[in-house]
Amino acid sequence: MMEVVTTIPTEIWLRIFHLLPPQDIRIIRQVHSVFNAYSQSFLWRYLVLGRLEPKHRNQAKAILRNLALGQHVKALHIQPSSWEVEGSGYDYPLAIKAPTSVWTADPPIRTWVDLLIQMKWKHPIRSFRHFSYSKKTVSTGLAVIPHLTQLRVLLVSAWHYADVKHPSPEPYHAIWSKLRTHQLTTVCFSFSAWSALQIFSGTVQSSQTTFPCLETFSLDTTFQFNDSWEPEQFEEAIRVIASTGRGSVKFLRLYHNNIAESALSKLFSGLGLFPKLVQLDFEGYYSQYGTPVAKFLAHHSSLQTLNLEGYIDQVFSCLPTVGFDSSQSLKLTSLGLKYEVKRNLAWLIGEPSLQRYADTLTTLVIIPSRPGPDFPYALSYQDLNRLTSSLYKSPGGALLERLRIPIVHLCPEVFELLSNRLENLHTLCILYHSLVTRLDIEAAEPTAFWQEMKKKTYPNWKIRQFCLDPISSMPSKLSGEEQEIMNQVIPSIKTFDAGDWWHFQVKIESGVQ
Amino acid sequence: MAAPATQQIKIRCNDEKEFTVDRDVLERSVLIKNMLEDVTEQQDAPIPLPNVSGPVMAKVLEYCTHHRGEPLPSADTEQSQDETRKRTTDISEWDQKFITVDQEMLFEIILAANYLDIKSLLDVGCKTVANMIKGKTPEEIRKLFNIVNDFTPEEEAQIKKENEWAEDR
Repeated sequence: MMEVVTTIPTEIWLRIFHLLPPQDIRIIRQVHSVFNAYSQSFLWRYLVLGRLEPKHRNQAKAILRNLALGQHVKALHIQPSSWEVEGSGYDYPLAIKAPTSVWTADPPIRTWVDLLIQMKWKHPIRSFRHFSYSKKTVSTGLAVIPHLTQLRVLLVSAWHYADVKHPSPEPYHAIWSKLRTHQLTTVCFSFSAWSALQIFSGTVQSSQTTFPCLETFSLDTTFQFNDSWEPEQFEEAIRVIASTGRGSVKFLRLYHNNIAESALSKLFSGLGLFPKLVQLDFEGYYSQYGTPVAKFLAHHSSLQTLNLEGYIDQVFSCLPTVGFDSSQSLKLTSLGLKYEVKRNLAWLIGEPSLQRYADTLTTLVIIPSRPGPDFPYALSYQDLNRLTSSLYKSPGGALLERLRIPIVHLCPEVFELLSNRLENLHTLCILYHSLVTRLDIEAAEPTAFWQEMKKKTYPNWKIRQFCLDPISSMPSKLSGEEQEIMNQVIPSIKTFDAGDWWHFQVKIESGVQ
Repeated sequence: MAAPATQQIKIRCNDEKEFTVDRDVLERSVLIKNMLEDVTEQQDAPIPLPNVSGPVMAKVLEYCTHHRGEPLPSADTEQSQDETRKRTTDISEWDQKFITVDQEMLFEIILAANYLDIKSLLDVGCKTVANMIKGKTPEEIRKLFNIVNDFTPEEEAQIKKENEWAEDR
């Protein structure tokens, strides 16, 4: 056998290691000293700085000073370490204490930042992510931004305790005004980084800064802070981002529970803000969101990927009322739906909802918004029959390549149906409530189900990625024996991991992968 | 003046095995493409390829023939492909079947693709090796590639200690 470590040239091993995630890089460096040397440049692509205990200060300095490591860092994350939540003895400046936690003060984070600034950190950081609990840590953590001269990706997460309740624009103005916006490709504000966004947009507007390269913009406020948002200000902030982006934004993610309809209507009616948009991820659990979102869709014919969470049926049922021309608009290739109530599913199954997109659709992701045993809504066999029939009836046949579906009772007949109707599938993920042996049986019999599956085979089906997970628990891999059975049933399966349940969302680029 | 697409070119491998191949197929290799462009007069002598054996070249030609006509990556697309390469280890169905070979042949193909400068084939090979590595333990990787552990116990302990700093939080 070839002696691969030294026979294969360095540049090829580097090319291979470049394809590996960080956890595998940590493994590979334990294999051989040559691999250890090669992997250094990949090992330190991410630098995650958590809270720094005084006793680690010297060690941290040594690491930061080690240019051999630091020169490879492409992503800098400042975030709380696990023991921040557990407590370190510092008093939290706002004296907020969670029932099981003692919040720490910001000096440890400031220590990191001071170290970075003192050492004139000039490594090619492309991605900066900052997660903060308090006003002081927000401003302290962000103080490093002016030093990041090659920043492409900016992600700011803040909790409401300090940021919203105690907005203080001064620290931000100085920071944002030094941000090199002309090279940013991704901006993401999450949780309640509200004043960060507000002041960010204000600064941008006053300095007439633009984002000529901005492709991804994300605003994620999934927590319920009903008293913290001013609709008009929000609308203005988004408008600033959109208009200064000069129409370059391709991926837009808006996740809200607490934006007033009036603000959303104004936002979405601002047509032309995103003329190049190809993907929209939208979450909204208020039924009145239907009309503004539908209007938005009706005027964005370039959209290829749509991921909706919440009142899906409201959005689609509003389409005809807002001048939507189904023959001209929305040639969707990917549709992701996270549903809340059974009515959302009913829309999906009802023809011709899905058939309208059958000529272009290659990805369909349907997932329950609240996985768990108390969430009963999923597709029956009959529902699945109707759904696949909608796709199969299209003139070009079923183009679908990726499918993720929730099933109430998963029986072998489901595979029969899918293999007949969706012959082009290469990725299939099935969530189920129970495994049953036949269509007419409802009692769960997992052992008998696998016995029945052993009798099936679909040698011509092209599934490469396959996963099977119970709705009632977190994703888990099939056992070795179950994988073996599935490999006999569908020989083309290469991997039993079809990715994250929620991965249909806009990818926030790390800038280093 | 550009040669007609049907022009036949001879190549000779390091085991004296010769192939006569359509020029457009061979031009998937940037190395050979550049060599052919450098030659002003038509030559009957085969192009020597001292770093590739006959069996490996046969596999490489199978790949090039299947992908003939596909646009070669330009300088612009090279960068975006490079970005894509970093993010995914997906391999198309045909390429996956093609690269289902024994390990010796897999690395020979990678070396040949590197020498002949066929970037897409090199990518397929590297992705395949990356997929083989993913999720395995150090010992499983050593066993897979027949690698001898050359670390002292102290060095191993040091790496594990460093890895603690490098772990995901």
